[in-house]
Parts: sequence; structure tokens; C-alpha cells
Amino acid sequence: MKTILEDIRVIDLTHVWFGPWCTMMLAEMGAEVIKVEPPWGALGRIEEFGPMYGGAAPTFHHLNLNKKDIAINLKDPEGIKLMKELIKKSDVIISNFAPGTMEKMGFSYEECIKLRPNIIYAVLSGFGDTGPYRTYSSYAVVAEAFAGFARAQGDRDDPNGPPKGMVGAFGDLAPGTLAAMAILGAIRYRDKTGEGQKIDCAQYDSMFAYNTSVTNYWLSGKTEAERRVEEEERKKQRQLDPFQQITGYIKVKDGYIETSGLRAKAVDALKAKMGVEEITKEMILQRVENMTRDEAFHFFAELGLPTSIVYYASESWKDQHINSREMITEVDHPLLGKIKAINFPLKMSKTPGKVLSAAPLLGQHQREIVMSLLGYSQEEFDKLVQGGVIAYQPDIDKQLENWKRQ
Amino acid sequence: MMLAEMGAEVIKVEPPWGALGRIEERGPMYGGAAPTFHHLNLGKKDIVINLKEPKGIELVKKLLAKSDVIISNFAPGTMEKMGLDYDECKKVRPNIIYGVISGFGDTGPYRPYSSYAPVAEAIAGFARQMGDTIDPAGPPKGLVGFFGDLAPGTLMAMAVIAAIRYRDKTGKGQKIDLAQFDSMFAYNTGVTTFWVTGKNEAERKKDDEERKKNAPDRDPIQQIGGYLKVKDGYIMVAGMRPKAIDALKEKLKVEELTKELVLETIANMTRMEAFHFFAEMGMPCSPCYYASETPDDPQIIAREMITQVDHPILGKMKAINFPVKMSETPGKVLSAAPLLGQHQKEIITQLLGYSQEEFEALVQGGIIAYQPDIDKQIENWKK
Repeated sequence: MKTILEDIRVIDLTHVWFGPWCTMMLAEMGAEVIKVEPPWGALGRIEEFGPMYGGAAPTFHHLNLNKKDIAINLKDPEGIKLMKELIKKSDVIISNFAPGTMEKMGFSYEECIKLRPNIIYAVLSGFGDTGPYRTYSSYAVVAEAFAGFARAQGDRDDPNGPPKGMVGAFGDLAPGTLAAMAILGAIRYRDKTGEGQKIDCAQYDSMFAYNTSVTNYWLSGKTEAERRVEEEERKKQRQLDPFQQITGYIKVKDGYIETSGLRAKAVDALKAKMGVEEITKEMILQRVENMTRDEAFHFFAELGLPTSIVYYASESWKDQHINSREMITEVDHPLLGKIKAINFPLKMSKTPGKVLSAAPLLGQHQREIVMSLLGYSQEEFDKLVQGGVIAYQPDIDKQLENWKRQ
Repeated sequence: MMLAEMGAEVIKVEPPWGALGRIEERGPMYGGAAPTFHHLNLGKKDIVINLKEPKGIELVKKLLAKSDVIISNFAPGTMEKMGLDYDECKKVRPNIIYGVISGFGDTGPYRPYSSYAPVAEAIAGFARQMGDTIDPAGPPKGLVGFFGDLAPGTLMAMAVIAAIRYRDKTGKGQKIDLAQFDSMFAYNTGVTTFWVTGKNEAERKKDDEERKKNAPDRDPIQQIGGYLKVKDGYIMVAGMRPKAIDALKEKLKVEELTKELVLETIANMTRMEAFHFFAEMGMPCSPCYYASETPDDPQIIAREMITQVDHPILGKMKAINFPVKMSETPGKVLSAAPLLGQHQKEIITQLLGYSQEEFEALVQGGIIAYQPDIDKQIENWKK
């Protein structure tokens, strides 16, 4: 067995960030992930407000490595028929439509079990498949606001001011990772029992579960405001060492570093290094203010302080450590040629994750999927193209025709 | 904890003085632990082992022989120094799944360096991005939530299950090396955006501003998207649903929408009223809750996201349920965060089969915790 999920096929109806991150993790662990898009391209592929590259928005390229792609018109009964054939041959079906959509198309869990009794049926959504908000829409920022993170972020600046959004879309990516974890759990269960199951992953449930402040409230019985007042009091009593006094973002010659000054030994180490009896925060800041970020980072790190360079995303990939970790790889895109891609983030000694292909073109693999996997004839395939059930093959061929594969 | 909630027997090994994270240096403790410790350690058993003593290392190896997975996040080199590196552990348990979690990973020039969530978030570009939302020429800003810990932690849980599957099928264990920096780097779509566009953050911002100027009537809803003040707090509206906009126009009986009109309409609504108002029209929206308010939310309650555990000192207390619903194998929260060394007797005499004398020798030798202390804490526990 070369990869963990080499025997697993996933039908991926997800779009934007939450679902695609989940299925990309599965794809990088070896699963065959077949991304099913509508004929006009999935939400997330189309960048309404910015430029497209090689047929997709930049974030689409980030989130859809390693997947195969087919465009199916699910409003056409022939498209539904095609999907059913795919489901019969798949281990996992995952979607994140508005509640009711799968049912309307005839792909409820009960219907899918008829096609594939041991199917692992995953639904990803903002609020889950049950509950009063079930029909409501969500985005990462919605889940983050619901779960208390936006208010907490706002509180950092001004507890009397507005909430603030977090960057990074962790309201999509963290739940997406939980969903991948759960699907792996379900695959293992199926290995041992032969049974599939339904997985219902909600952004709101997930972000709620991630929020340690909830437990803090339950234990202390105190709200954020009450705890803040107490924390201020405690701070006044505390003797902070010079490193603790400068915790946070420190401006240096060419930008900022970050330091979380919580290592008692660091003060002694610095005294020894500088050959002095006493250290003040002014001395430390003076010492680093003319250093580059790189110099200041190593200076603090070698003292044992948790510290980092504050990078822009656009430069983080040049970091020597990230490169030595082989976190950057290359994929080959039919239109864009060779482009960089981020590697699977975990190092697994026997079953390394692999990034093998770029985010796909719309419908890129439809011929292979419909004819090789499903066994349709050329005539049947052409009929689907003519009927607008799948994508217009000549468009795909045109995009592939100049692809010089190495 | 994710593994524990999926049924694994997780044995938490702490030093005699209690793990980092248990002790809250700067705040109150509850039932022997900081609040966040309670959040993050549900479902686990606990044993204290003095790893500075050879007999302690011996005990760990005995445990290892009966275990499937060992996970640690010490400073690199620590496991080696204790004789618990992957090769040594394989001698004890050939198919062991050996997980190491660290800031920078088990290899590379920053390997020896320490890390916390804010460190990983800063080096992966998120702090700068956060600062840019306020002032691109100003300082970086931290994110709340500790996703620099929790997101990589979730990746690790995913990988451990994957490794367990691989071992089911091949009989082989393996080593898993997770770095917060690698993980947060992988999560950052801004990196690929740079690679694909060839433009950095400042250049792209400039392009966006150009586009905004030239774009025909941008939807007022997009302009009003964001954090909106209502009577009793704020809501968050992530606009941009054409159908919702039409529905809103119809509801307000207007041809055109303006920001002022919308804000006026909701100004006297409560957060919940405004939330349902927009949500029913298909607009992605939420009240901006404090964490302390979230447990009262009807959706959270309907989803059974809150359960109860029984703590020896604190008694019955609320806990958050496993967040993913699985129809055949639901996750379960079965116990509170443990007391320091709470299960040492059970682990050593039952799991490892030590005799009472052998157990007491370990207590007297300071290899494990002082049992009478534990007994005292449990003695009033009305289960």
C-alpha cells in the first residue's frame, strides 16, 4: 500500500473553501477526488471581482490541487443519471449545498445508500443538517462571529468598539480539517465493519468547539468584561521581566518580529551574552532596533524565546526553513505551465502526502471519467456533450492542446 | 482530545509538578487546572511520571509496549535525550505510530526554536495580513482564537487516524512530524495568490482599488456588509446574494437600496431580530456573540453541542461536545479533564499489571505522583 487512501474514490460536490480544503487533504493522502462542477464553473473558481488565471481564481488554485474534474449539468435528468453511475463507484460523497438541494436532486443519504450501500455521505454546511438555522447561509466570517471570535478580536482594540474580522478564513479551514479527520475515521470504521455512515459537519458547531473562552466562562461564571477587569488588576500586581514587557510585535530595521516573552531563562542568557548584571526592556529594544528581521529573529530565538519574523504571505515562501522542510513543490498546469504549490503539511515517514497535479480546468477529466471509469462508449459520450449534460469537449481540448508536459 | 472523543484511550503523561497548560500562572485555577486545560483535556486518563528518573523512563517504555500511538511536543532533542526517539520506541513496539508536534518541525534550521500560536501565525503571514486590514503602513496585529495551535492540532488528529488505517492494512507504524509553521503556511491562500498573480499584497491592493473605482454600481449590500450596529450589539452581514438583495428591496418596498436605508431599518432591532431578518432573505449573517453568550444560542442547543461531565472537585460541569456528527460512530465526551495523576493506580496496577508493592515503590521513589494526594481529591467525589 503506497498511500493511505489509494483505494478510495471521493465524489466532491463542494465549493469555495470549506469543502475543497477537506477534499484536498484526502487527495494529498492518495484518494481519487472527482470534483463535480456545474457547467458554468463552481463558486470559488470564478473570481467576480478580480482577475482569473488559467481559468480560475488564485485561491481556487490553492485549494484544488490533486483533483480530477468533471462538469455536470445537474438540472438535466441525464446529468442526474451520470451522477448516479459515479456514486455507485465511489466510497465517499461530500457536498456543501444549501440544505434540501441534495434531496431535490435525488441524492439524499437514503437514495445514495440504494446506489452504494456502504457509502460515506458527508454534508458540510454553515449550521448543520438540523436545527433552527439549518436553512441559513454561512461564510467563514459568519461562523467566526457566531462563535465569539469577532467580538474577541474587536475587544483586543476596544471592548466598547465594534467587532473585528479575523483574516485567514479559519472559519472554513479549521472545520474543513475536522471534516477530513472525520471522513478518515469513517473510512476506518468501514474497513472494519463494512458499514458507511453519514457525517454532518457544521462550521458553527466546529468554531464553537474550538473556543476555549466558552469553558472559561462556564468555570469562572464571569463574562469577558468581568474577567478583563480582573486580568488588569492582576497585571498591575505582576512583576514582568524585561522580555515579558516587550511581548508582541517589535519594529526593527526592515519590518517587524513577533515575540512571546515567556522564558525565564532568556533573561539570564541575555545577561550572559551581553556581559551585564541588569537588563531593561529599553536595552533590549535598543539592541534589536537596527537589526534586520532575520537577525533579530535569530537573536531572540537563540535565547530560547518563542519568536518569529512577521512575514507577508508573498515572502514567507522564501524562508530558508520552509524550504528546507520541502514545503514548496511544483505542479504543471495546462495553461499556466509550471507553477509553485504548497506541499502536504505533515511529514509521514511511510506514507508521505503528495501533491501531484494542479487545480484542474473545468471538466478537464470528463473523458477519462465518463469513458474509462464509467465505461460509456464514444457515442454515449458525444451524446452527453451535445446534450449539454457535460462540458463542451472541444473547449477542453483547445486548452490542453498547447500543454507541453515535461 | 479529538482522538479521545472518537473512542481512543488517551493516557496523558504529566511531570510531577503538572503539565504546562494545567498551571495558570496568571489567573485562577479551578479544580486543579486552568480553564483552558478543562476545555482541551476532556476524555483523557492521567498519569504523572518523573521523566528525569531512569525508573520513570522504564515506566514509559512499559506503557509504550501496550500502546498504539505516542505523541509528544517537547523541544526538539528532548525525546532523544530521554531515550524515547523513534528508533528506540520501535524497539519496544515495532509498529508504533510516533507523532511529534512542534513549532518548526523535526528538521530544518529553526528546529531548536520555540513557538506558540502567535509565532506560527506571524511567520505564516497572518499577523501582517491582520495589521493590513487596519493600516498597511502600521504594525502587524495578532489573531484571537489560537488557530496557530488548533488548526495544526486538527491536522495531526487527521494524520494519526490515517496512520492507524495504514497500520490496519499493512501492520506498519510510522513517524509523523507536524510543524505549526508548515501547517499555517499550507493554510495561507495568500501564498498561492502571490505565485499565481506575481503581485504582492500592496500591488494587489492597488489593483483592487482601481477596479472599485471603475466598477459599475457596486451593490450597496456589499458596501454595507460587515459589522453593523443594532440596538443591543452588532451583527455581521457577509453580503452579496443577488436573490437576497431582491428580497430585501421587496420587503422594504423600494426600487433602490441605500446603505442608510438598510442601517435605519435595523437600527432598532435586536441582534436576533436583525439576524433572522437578513438570514431569512438568504443573506449570510450572524449576531456577534461573546463566547459567554454562545451556549444560549438555539442552534447550538438544538445541535446538542453542550454536554455535561463529572469532575471530582468541581462536580457536574458543562463541556462542549465532539463537533462532527457521525451517524454510526458518534463522538463522545465521557469524562472531565483529569486531575494530576488521577488514573495512575488503574494504569499501573491494571494495565501494566504491577503489584501493590511495586506500585508503592514507584510512589515512594517519586517516580509517579503521591497517591494520598490524589485519594484526598477523589474522596468526596459523589459519582
